[in-house]
Amino acid sequence: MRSLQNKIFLFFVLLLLMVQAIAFWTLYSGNKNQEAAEINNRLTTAKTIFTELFERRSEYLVAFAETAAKDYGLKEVFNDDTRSLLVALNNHRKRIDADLAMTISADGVVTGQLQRHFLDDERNKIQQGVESGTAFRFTQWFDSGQSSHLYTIDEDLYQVSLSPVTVGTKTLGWVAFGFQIDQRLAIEFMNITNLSTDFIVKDNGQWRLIASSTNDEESSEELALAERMIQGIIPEKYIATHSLITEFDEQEVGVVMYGLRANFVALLQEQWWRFLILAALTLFVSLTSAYFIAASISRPIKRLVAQAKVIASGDYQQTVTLNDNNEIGQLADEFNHMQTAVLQREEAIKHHGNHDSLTGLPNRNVLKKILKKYTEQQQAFVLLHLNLSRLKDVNDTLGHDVGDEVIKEFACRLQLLCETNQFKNLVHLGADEFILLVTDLDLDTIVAKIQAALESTFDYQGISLQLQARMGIAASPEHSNDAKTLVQMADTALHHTRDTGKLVQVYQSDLDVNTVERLNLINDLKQAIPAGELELHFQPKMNLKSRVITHVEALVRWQHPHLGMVPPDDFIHIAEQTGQIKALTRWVFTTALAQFNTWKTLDLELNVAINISAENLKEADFHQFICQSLMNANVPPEKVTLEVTESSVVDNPESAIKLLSAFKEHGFKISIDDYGTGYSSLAQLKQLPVHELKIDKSFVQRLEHDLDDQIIVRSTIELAHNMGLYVVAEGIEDEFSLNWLAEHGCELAQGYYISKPKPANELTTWLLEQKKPKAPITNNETNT
Amino acid sequence: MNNKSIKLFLLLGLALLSTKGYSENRCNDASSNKNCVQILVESNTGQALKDLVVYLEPLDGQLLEPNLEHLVINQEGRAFSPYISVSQVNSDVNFVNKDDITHHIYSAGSENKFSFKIKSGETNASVEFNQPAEVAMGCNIHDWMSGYLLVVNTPYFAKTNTQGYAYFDITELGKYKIVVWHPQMKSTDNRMIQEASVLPHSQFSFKLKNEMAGIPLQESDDDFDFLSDYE
Repeated sequence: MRSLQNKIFLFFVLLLLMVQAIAFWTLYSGNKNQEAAEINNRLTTAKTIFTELFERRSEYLVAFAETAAKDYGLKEVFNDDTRSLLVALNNHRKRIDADLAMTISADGVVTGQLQRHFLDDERNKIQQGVESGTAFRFTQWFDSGQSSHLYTIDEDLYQVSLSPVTVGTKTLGWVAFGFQIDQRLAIEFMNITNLSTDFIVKDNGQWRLIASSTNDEESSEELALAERMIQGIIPEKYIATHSLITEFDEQEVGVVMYGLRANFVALLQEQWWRFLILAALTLFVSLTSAYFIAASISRPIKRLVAQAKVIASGDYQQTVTLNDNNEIGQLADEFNHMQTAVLQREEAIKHHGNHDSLTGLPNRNVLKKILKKYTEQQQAFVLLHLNLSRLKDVNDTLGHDVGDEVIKEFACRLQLLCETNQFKNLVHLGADEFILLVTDLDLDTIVAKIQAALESTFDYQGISLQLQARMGIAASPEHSNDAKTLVQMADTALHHTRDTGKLVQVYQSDLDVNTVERLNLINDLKQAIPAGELELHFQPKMNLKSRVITHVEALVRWQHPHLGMVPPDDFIHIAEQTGQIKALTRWVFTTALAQFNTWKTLDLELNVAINISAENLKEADFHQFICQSLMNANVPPEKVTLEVTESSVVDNPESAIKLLSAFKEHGFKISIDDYGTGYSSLAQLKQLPVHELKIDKSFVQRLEHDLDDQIIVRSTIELAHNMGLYVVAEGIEDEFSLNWLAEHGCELAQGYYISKPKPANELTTWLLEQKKPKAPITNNETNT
Repeated sequence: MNNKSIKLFLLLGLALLSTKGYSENRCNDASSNKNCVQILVESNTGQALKDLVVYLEPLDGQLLEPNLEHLVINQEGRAFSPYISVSQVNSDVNFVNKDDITHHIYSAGSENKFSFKIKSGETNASVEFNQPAEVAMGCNIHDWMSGYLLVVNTPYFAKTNTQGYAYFDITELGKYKIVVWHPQMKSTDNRMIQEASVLPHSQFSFKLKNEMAGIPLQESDDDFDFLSDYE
């Protein structure tokens, strides 16, 4: 969730992490440097300590040897028997607990030697050394002026000091004292420096381990390690330093001091832990405070968000109060201002929505509410739908401004009427249409009052205008209890006044046209073909010469599941308007062809006429479909008559003529349906590629009584014949017509008198009966 | 009196004493005594060397009257004075402490071991030297003090004078072993030896093969002067 709080918090977190990281890095690098410095310091110190310790021992030995050499007691027995000498020597040795004590005579022979030997059980024992009576190996030391030396006896290494024993200037010999360089020294040193210490000596170019502070059995490994370290090769896990003590002779002793880096760094590591814990704690504390800071910043914003939601829900009563003087506080104030402004604007919009902008009268929305209220209360009332007459004329002649003025005046008068009477409500639906709701007054009074109010002329800029209103009236509960229906009824009544020219029309049920049903049909029609609700009826056409049925006209019927049989007049028009005529015509065509073949098997040779809509003529693939279907059904084209209404050709004569010519060429029969109703000119008729004219039933139905119709029909027949066309008459409802038409040369007749349209099977039965020699029709013929 | 003037004074006295002390078996001038034998000791560079011990041991069994001269070895100025003394066996040797402090004179490391304390102004004659010996002496209290006593078995002994000469008035002529000795002489047993028949007016000369080692100054390394200030 990317809320502000989270963002601020995240920002803080990042900031803190960055600061912590910098601090940590600084500390880390500082510590690293410190670590290195400390290690270096430690090692340097260790080395210094060692040198100091070693030199101290030397100096100590030197001082002691000098002192002992001057001891008279020693001098006294110096050249005496060995026993006396050794006792005196040991006496001195004990004073400094030396590991080695020696006397050397003036002629360079070791006259006495005491050596400490360590026993297994930690005790030690002073024994006479092995070199007693042998020549001293380093007589060159006597004149060297140097008093400290490294001295080896067998495997043992000593740090010795040599001092001459003199009487006056006469040298009696030398006395030497020494400390052994052994594990004790190494351990002592380790205890001081915390570093492991190894002593190695070079014998004949080979290093040898003298002593080590570690009691490790693996002395060879220790030696290898020490050897490498003395060459300055220090493995990464160690820290080490070394020192070389070289005698002027071949003696070379190395001291190696080392420690595991890990051990040493352990102390620093502990610091790290402390620091890490501290860092974690500060991080936790700062994050917590960051969270609260973020929350404190976003809390008022959240309140504003909540307030915005309240406003969005339409509640303008609550205000938000923040005691902040900062931007958010200002925002809250602006919020409240905005809320007020929105409220005002919404009210303006509401007013605008509920009132007509021109007259300021309540509009349709208000009407709905009022009607709802009335119907809920079962209030009896009269609804008048008023229409200001001739407004269009005013608009056209004087302009819309004047028209608006007229509307305003009209509204004004009605409003005045409302105020002075018990007329309850006046609603302006828009333009020139108003609705007036009246209670407790009889209809005549109302109408009279309205007409009285409109009686005087309206003078506008010197023009005298007559205000006249037509009224459609519906009353509740007499006509309906439903508000919507009531309005529609009044509307229907008003519509009726236009047709009748009356000024006032009260609703009657017979004014209704099934407009609602019609709308439903549009939807239902889509389902009709797949649902098999459509049915094809056929009406026979009689050859007036032979009085034999030679043709049939296919007529579609719709068996609606709820409405029952729907007549074609009701739905064909809908099909044309909604584009469903294409599918409908094709269904009719294929079904009719199938029926043709069925009859053919029964030996009924009939020409089938199929109605083609104007819309069909606009289809690009219509010609192809018709021809293809004909071929599929194996029906000869001359057995099919395409009936086209006069008007459909009139709409788009060129393409229609082109298409019809194509059909004619293909062999179809083309018939002009409803001839005489489409205002087609003779010039057009001349061009049309047709075979026959079908005289509209309106001319035929009253043929017996209307002489005009007789003239028209006779003329038409003559005209058609003169143009080489056949004539079909439809709407034959009596014998007179049939005979009259036969008399006047009409080729084919169709009508209820012969047969009404019938389902195919019914017609088949009828047709088969007709084929029998004695048929009722022949009787009719005789009557003519 | 300061330290330097004391030293000067003492040296003067020493010189006087030495010329006076060796009179009996020695002749100062070869011309004055017909039997006077002259021995010259020179350094390797031909310089006259003084205070080297020269003695003659009879080889023909000459009977010689012993020279039991009374020998005094002073401890003076915290030094043995003289540095080198020589005497015949069984002579009396007196150690005289002329300093204002106590000394602890000793000798060690040889047959002639002795040791005694000698207080200021005292004389010690307790040590007898009845064998020829080369006695190195020191003071246990003052390490720098060093002195030598050569005990010889002949009455003919002397120390060369500043010109490097030693004179002997030989009564019994004959064959002698002539020895020149000094503790700082770099030669075997710190000595040079000639065997020769000694005739009247015989003259012998010794030339050292090596340079002499330094004669100890018998002075403290430290500037330890406060005792002097009490004088």
